[in-house]
Amino acid sequence: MKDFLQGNIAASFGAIDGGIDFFAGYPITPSSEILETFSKELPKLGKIFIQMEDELASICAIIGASLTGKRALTATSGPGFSLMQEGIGYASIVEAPCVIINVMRGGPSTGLPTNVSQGDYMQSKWGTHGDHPIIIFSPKNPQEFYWLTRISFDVAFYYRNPVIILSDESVAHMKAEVERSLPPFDFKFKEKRKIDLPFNFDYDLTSNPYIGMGKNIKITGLFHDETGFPVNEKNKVEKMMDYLIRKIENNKENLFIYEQENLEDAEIVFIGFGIMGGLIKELKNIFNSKGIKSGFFRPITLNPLDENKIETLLKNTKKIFVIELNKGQLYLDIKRILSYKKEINFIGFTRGDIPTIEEVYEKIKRFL
Amino acid sequence: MSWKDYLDYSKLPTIFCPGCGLGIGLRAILQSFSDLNIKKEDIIFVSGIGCSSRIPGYVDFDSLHTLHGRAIPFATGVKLSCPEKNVIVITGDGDGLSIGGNHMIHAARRNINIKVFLFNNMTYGMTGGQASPTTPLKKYTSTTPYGKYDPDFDSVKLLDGAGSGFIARGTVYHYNMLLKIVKQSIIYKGFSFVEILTPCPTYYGRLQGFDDPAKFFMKQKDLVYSIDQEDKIKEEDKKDKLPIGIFKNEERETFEEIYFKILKDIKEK
Repeated sequence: MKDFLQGNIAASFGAIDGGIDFFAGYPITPSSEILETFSKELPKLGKIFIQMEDELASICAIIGASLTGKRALTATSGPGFSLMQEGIGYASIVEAPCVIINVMRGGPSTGLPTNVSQGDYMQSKWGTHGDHPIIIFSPKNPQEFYWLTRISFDVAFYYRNPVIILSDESVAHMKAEVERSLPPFDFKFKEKRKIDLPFNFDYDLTSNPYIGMGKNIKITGLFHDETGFPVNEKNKVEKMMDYLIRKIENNKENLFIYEQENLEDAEIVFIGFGIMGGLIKELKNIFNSKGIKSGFFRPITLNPLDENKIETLLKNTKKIFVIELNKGQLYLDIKRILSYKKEINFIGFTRGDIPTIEEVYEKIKRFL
Repeated sequence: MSWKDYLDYSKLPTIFCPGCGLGIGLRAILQSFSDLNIKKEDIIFVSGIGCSSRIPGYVDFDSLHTLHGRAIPFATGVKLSCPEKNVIVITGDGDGLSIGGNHMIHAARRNINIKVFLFNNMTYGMTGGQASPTTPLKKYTSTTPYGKYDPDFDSVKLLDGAGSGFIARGTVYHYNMLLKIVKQSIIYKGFSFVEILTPCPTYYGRLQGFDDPAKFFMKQKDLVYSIDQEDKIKEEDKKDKLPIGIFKNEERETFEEIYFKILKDIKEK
């Protein structure tokens, strides 16, 4: 059965169908509909909804809940996402399996509260201080927003890591047909080794006890040993940091999902993420109809990027256009991965809207 | 069970300086658990960042050492996820009243059933003795070399205004009274706030001219008066002194009671 849903509401139902137990949030445009939907729906399901005093409190409350084994989520935008950065770092060092939805709006600062942007790509990866593991997914439409939110808890618990869903104002406020069906993504969730301590740094993926189980679990945002007690001996610190990064890096083949068409023999390829998914697909069609072999590539997972996979997929193409609603952020990653053998062009828009296909077409023509 | 059974001996000794009062405060809290027969598996400590916030590392039950100022929102998430547990926040004057002040007043307003023990040593000990919001006017710290320009605020009045139903203050010098206060606050149903005055001889005491931790410890006695004897003390003797005792002990409906009742009502509809 299909419903006609706004993106934010689709994501809320995705979380509900994914088994959400706990939501904490604070009002902010353009993500407030998620807060409002949960305020109505979660009490009906016997689950916890709490409106906190700010975003700092919201992220901390969901981390606290997730450390007891609950499926916890918060949703925010721009300034609120900036406030949450310290909490995201904490969640990554204590391996808290929580989910954060960031509905991107124009920035910096208060910026363009009611308009679309993709300016938080790099912030999602690097917003909190220090090297840290993070998983980021980005939906192109309400249906994918639903699916990604629904699967995000499984991913967060499997990897014992925070997951960010990087949406934007247009995906969030667009209304479209949404089917409340199982996500079609091919993530593998294998049986994990059971460990009796709260942490381990030897194996990549393990199943560990939560607080509240009476097992004397200690948790700290300091570098810690496997009992959760602070350490600063250099070999222990290095081992833990290596483990944190390895846990995600070693599994990027499983975590990296994407959409593509015609990459095998494309002369030119259009690359974009999130809301740009529709536009790059249309560009591909237009150029193909004009006799120029073209394809598109849209990473759905923005972190970790599977560099080898991207290189293989794009090995035959010579000319690339990265099209984003920012000043060139995914572009930097694509250049990092492919620059030495391709011509990579960037086309960006930061006006708070989505450009028309004609506008983009005109800009591309100048490069051909 | 003795209070000692609540300690994780494998993590000792503590990182606290010689002459620090935090151990006495912890003893009062653990003694209360012992006296009230609370099982270890039913307690969760949550702390922020600072000297007092390192206490949870030394106990033999679940504990969370979180971010600077954020112990209360973490505790909120834990308490609503495990409503049957005793969720206890260990914080300090900088952690709980400066960077985390906003969370403190909102948790008091919501009346979530968490217990806050705020160790007030009137300074930021962990970072080297800077001025905190409870450092009194004109006192010397590593960031007020000419004496502090701005006054401290009274946490008891702040928490009263925010709606906390249980408000008390004790000192580590007056141990028996502190034990009584801590026990009362654990029995109390709802958000409770206990400020525990504790000396920091290493940073704060030294900069006020005390060369001996013991002398600085004794000084606590002269800095406070009991609210039980309030009527007998002259107004001028109360000047620059802090009252200690239980200021408020009135129960009201907790956040959990209201919220879980709504869930029940919806289900039965």
